Amino acid sequence: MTINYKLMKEPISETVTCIKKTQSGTTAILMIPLLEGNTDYQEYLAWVAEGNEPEPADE
Amino acid sequence: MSRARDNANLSPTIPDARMPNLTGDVTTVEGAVATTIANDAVDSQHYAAGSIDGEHIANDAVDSQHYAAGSIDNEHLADDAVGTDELANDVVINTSGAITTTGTATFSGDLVPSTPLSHRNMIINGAMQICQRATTTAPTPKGADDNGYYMADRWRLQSGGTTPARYNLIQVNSGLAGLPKAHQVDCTTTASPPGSDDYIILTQRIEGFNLQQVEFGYPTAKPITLSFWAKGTAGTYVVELYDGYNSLAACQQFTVTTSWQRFEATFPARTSGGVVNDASNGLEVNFWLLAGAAFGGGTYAANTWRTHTNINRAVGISNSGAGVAESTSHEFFFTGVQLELGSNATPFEHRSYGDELARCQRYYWRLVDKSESHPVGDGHYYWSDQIRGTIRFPVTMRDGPTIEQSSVSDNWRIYRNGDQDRFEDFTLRAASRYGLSWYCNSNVSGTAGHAGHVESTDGTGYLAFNAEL
Repeated sequence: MTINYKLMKEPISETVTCIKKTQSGTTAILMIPLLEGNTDYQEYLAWVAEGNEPEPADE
Repeated sequence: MSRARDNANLSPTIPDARMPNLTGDVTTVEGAVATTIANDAVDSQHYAAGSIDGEHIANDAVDSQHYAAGSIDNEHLADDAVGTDELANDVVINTSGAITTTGTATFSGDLVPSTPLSHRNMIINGAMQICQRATTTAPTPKGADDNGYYMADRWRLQSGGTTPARYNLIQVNSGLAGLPKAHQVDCTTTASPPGSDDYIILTQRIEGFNLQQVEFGYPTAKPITLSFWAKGTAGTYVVELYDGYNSLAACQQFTVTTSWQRFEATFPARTSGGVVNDASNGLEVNFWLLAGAAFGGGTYAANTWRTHTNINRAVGISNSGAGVAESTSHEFFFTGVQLELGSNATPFEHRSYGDELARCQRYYWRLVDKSESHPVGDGHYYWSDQIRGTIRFPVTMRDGPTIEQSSVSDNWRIYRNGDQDRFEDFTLRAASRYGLSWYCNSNVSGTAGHAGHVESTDGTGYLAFNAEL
């Protein structure tokens, strides 16, 4: 299973407001808020802590 | 004269049926008569019915010193002999046993129970009625590395290790009166024997806010009782309470047959290790269906809080830990899950469907479920190539949720200015527990300032909001 995270930059504020998650084997797209209580965000932080890097936001 | 001779002479001098003459003629001196009347000498044949009544017994003459413990029992009391007139106010029935009646109990005063009469069940969707995501995972069974929520609301599959085992999770008709739905785990790929670090668990994570009544960590801590119905291919499994904050766990084995049984397990009060009081994971109820040696190779201690050690978590699962994964013909069913205060399992607490759904929606809300032209809300063109909108949740969610959606081209559209504009997904701008704002700046074209309403197109996609634990 391949997991991919991409930072999403909101065009007005030009700040990252969520993280887009996709993974092989499923057609689901997740838009994850940067909130500590959100368990998807916690999984993302754990994924980063393992040495992984998200795809940068589009410029 | 010896006392024996007194007794021998006295008894014959009292003729039968002459006891009424004793009234007023015999002066009883404390201790004197008691030693001169043989046991059973004065029985119902020696006094007329009704002759020994309230007029002949001084107040308080017969007290606990004059009858043996237990001598006044149901056989010696007529029906209704002890009524409210015979009982003092505020009488206390002092018993440590159970009180059972086949009649109706009526209280004119307040009923003050030690455990709540309503809102008892700390489990949400214990009856497996709510399935917002899907009622089956078929044709794509789940297994290793599938950690998440796939079928019944609030029931999370936790799976790990290298196991090839796969299962379909299915909502089925149970055939149980009052609990019409059940959660089935149907093995499609075996893992027997399992790898050491393999595990399959069905879990409900309980929010800390909803656990404060257990009073763990205080001297007044209360025991809690888990009850559930289960059946399946005959075998032994383990149910566990796991407190990650305090690194404590307690477990109980249970053995199912092909017939439904109700299982009960009481876990002791815990005066140390308080329950976290926030919206995070306060306690997990884990049904272990497969456990490799790393989780089942230790020692078993029923219903005992122990420091969490993986090797002790699921000891005793059948088929060397393979459990339901031993054969593709194996299956496991459960429903009616209830966790409540106290040492006794009460009948399953039925809540209304709407109430149960709202409780589930605090954690997951599916707004559009593969239905055509399903409304999402209003939107507007902020720029000519960007639309924006907001969505309010039906209940306050546990935390700001993730937007979960299917990746389907042109799955959404906005009707504006006499036409429609199709787009693929919603990107999160900001989320709170109450609602969120979204935008889309991909493949949209319109006039800044125009507004419209947003809906699904062909009914193949879905849109949901996930704040699960």
